[in-house]
Amino acid sequence: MAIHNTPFTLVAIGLLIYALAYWGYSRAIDRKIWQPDPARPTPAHMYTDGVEFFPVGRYVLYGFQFNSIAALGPILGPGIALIFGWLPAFLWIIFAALLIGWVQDYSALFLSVRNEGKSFGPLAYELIGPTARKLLLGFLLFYFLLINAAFIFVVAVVIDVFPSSFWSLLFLVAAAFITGHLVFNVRMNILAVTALAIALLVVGIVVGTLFAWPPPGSLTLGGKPGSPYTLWLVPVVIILLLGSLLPLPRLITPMNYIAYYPVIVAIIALTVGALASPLTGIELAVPAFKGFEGTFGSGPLWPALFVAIACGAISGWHSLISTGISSRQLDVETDARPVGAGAMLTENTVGLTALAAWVVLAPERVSPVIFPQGATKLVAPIAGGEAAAPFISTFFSIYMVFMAITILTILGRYWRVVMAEVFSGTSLSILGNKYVASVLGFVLPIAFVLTGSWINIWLYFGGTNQLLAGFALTIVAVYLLQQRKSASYSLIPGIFMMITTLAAIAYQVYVFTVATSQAMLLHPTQNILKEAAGIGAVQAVNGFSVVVGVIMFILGIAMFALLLKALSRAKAAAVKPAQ
Amino acid sequence: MSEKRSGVFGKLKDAVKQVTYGMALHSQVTGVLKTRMYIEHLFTLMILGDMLGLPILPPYYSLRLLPYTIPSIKSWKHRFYRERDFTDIIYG
Repeated sequence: MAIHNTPFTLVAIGLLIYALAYWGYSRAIDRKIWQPDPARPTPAHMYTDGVEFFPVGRYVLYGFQFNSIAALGPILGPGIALIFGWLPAFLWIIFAALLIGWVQDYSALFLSVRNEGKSFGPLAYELIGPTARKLLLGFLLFYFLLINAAFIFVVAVVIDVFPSSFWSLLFLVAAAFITGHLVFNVRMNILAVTALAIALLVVGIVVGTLFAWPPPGSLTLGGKPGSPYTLWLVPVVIILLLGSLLPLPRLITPMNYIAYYPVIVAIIALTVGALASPLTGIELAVPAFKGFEGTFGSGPLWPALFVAIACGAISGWHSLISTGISSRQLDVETDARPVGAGAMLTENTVGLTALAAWVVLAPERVSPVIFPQGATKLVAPIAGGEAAAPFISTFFSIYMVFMAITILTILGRYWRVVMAEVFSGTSLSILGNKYVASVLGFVLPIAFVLTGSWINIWLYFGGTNQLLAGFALTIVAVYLLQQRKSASYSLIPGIFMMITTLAAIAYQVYVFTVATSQAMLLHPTQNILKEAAGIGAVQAVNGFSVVVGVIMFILGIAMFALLLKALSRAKAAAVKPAQ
Repeated sequence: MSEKRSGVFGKLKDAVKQVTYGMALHSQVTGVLKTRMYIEHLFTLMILGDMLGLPILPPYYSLRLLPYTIPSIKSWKHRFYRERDFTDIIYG
C-alpha cells in the first residue's frame, strides 16, 4: 500500500506546517510587530476584579481558549470542501493555518490587551466609529441565526440517522442536571461527580447503541433517513430552550463540563487513527481534484472553498472570544502567542483530522452523517475492530451532537440578551422578552433548515463567520497603522477574506433567489413541504433565506466601506507608538 | 493550582493538568463567579440604593447590613462605571 495515499500523509504534512507556523512565522510577527514586554501590566493586572479581569497561567488560558473556539466548524467544513476534491481542501487548511487563522486569533487578543481588555464592539467603536458598532450588532444577530440554523440542521439529521445519539444526548442532559445539583447544591467532591458523570455517559453510549430505537428515518416526514424534515427537531429545540432559560449552573455549566471528556477523546482518537492509517490499511477514497466548477448549490471553487472549512481555517467567532474574555485574563504579554496562536493551530489540527475522517469514504452526496461513518472506519481498526464499530459510530455521532448542543445553548442565551438590548424600550419590546426571544432564536433558524439544503446553509454560515474574521483582521490593521507599524501581515488576509466572503454570500443569495423566483426545489426533501403546503410555502422558505442573505450582504458591504475609510484615516494620521 | 514541580516530567504533568483544567473547568468557574458577582451587586444595590435615589430598603436595615457589602463595593463601583457592550456578554 502506498503511504502517500493514506490520511497519514495529510496529517503528518499538516503537523509539520503547523510547527512552522508556530515556531517560525508567529514568532517572527510576535517579535517584530507586537514586541511583547513581560514587564508591561496587562488588563488582568490593571483592572483585577477576580471575576472577569484576573491573571491566569498560560496553560490554563490556552485550554480555555481552545475549548471556547472548538465547535462543529472544523469537523463539518472539510466535508463540503470535498466537492472540489481533497487536495484543495487540504491546501486551504494548511495555507490558512500558516498565514491567516492564528493571525486573527492572536492579533485580536493582542489588540484587546493593548486597549484595556476592550471587547470587539468597543474596539470597533474606537477604531472605526459609532456606525461600525451598530452595524456589528445587526450583523451578529443574523450571524447567530445562521449558526443556529447550520448546527440545528446537523443535530437533526445526525439524530435521524443515528437515533442512538439522541438517547446518549438524554443521558448527557440527565448527567448535567445531576452534576449541577451535586456540585452546586450538595457540594460533593468534583472528582467523584466527574466519575459519576462519565459513567453515565458511557452507559448512555451503550444503552443508545443497544436500544437504537426507533429505526433511522422513522420520525422523518417522508420516511427517508437523513432528512432535516424530522420530528427530532422538537425534542432538540426543547433541550435548547431549557439551556437558554435555566440558570447557567443548572444545565449549561455542567453540560459543557461533561461534554468536554468525549470531545477530547474523539480528537485524540481521530489523530491516532489518521497517523496509524498506513498500518491499518485505510486509504484515501476521494479523488484529489474534481474541478473548479463545483455544483450549482456550492458555486465555483473561489469563493466556496474559502468559506466552507470555516473554523478549521479561520473563524470570526474566535475574535469575539479573544477580545471579550481571554484578553482580560492574560497574565503577561508574552503569553499571547501560546494562547492565541497555539489554540488556533490546535483547532486547525482538529480540522485536519476531521478531513482525514471525511476522505476515507466516497459518498454520492455530501451530508453531515458521512463524518461519523468515516471516523468509525478510521478509528475502528485500532479500537476493537468490527465488534466495536457500532459503539464507535454512536460515539462519533454524539461527538457531533455534543459539539453542536453545547455551543447552541450558549448562543441561545447570548441571542436573547442581545435581543433584549436591541428591543428593550422600543415599541417592539416584546421581542426582547426572554421567552419570546429564546423561542425566536431557535424557531427562526428552522426556516433555513426547511430549505433542506445543508450545503447552502453551511456556506451562508461560513460566509458570515469568515466575514467577521475579515473585519477583525482589518480592525487590527487599522490599529497597527495608527501605531506606525507594518500592518500587511493582517491587512492582506483581512481584505482577501472580506472580498471572498462577500462574494460567497452574494452567490448564495443568487442561488436562493433563483430557487424562489423559478419555484425550484433547492433540495429533493423540499418535496415534503411542497406536498404539504404547496409550492408557495417552498418559495416563502427560500425567500426568507434571500432576505437574510441580502441584509447580511448590505451590512457586510457597509462595514467594508467603513473599514476602508478607517484605514485611509489611520494612514494619514498615524501616531508615534507609546514608549 | 498546585505548586510548581521541577524536572521535565513534573513540568509536563503540571502543564497537562493546567490545560485540562482550562479546557474543562475554567469557563465553568468564571461562569459561577459571574453569577455570584451579579447576586453580590444586587445586594450592594439594595443596601446603597438609598444614596443613588433608589430607596429599596429602609435606612435602618441598610445600616445593619452595610458591613456585609463593604468588601464588594470596590468591584461593584468598577463594574458600575465600566462601559458594557453586547460583545462583553457572550458567556453571560
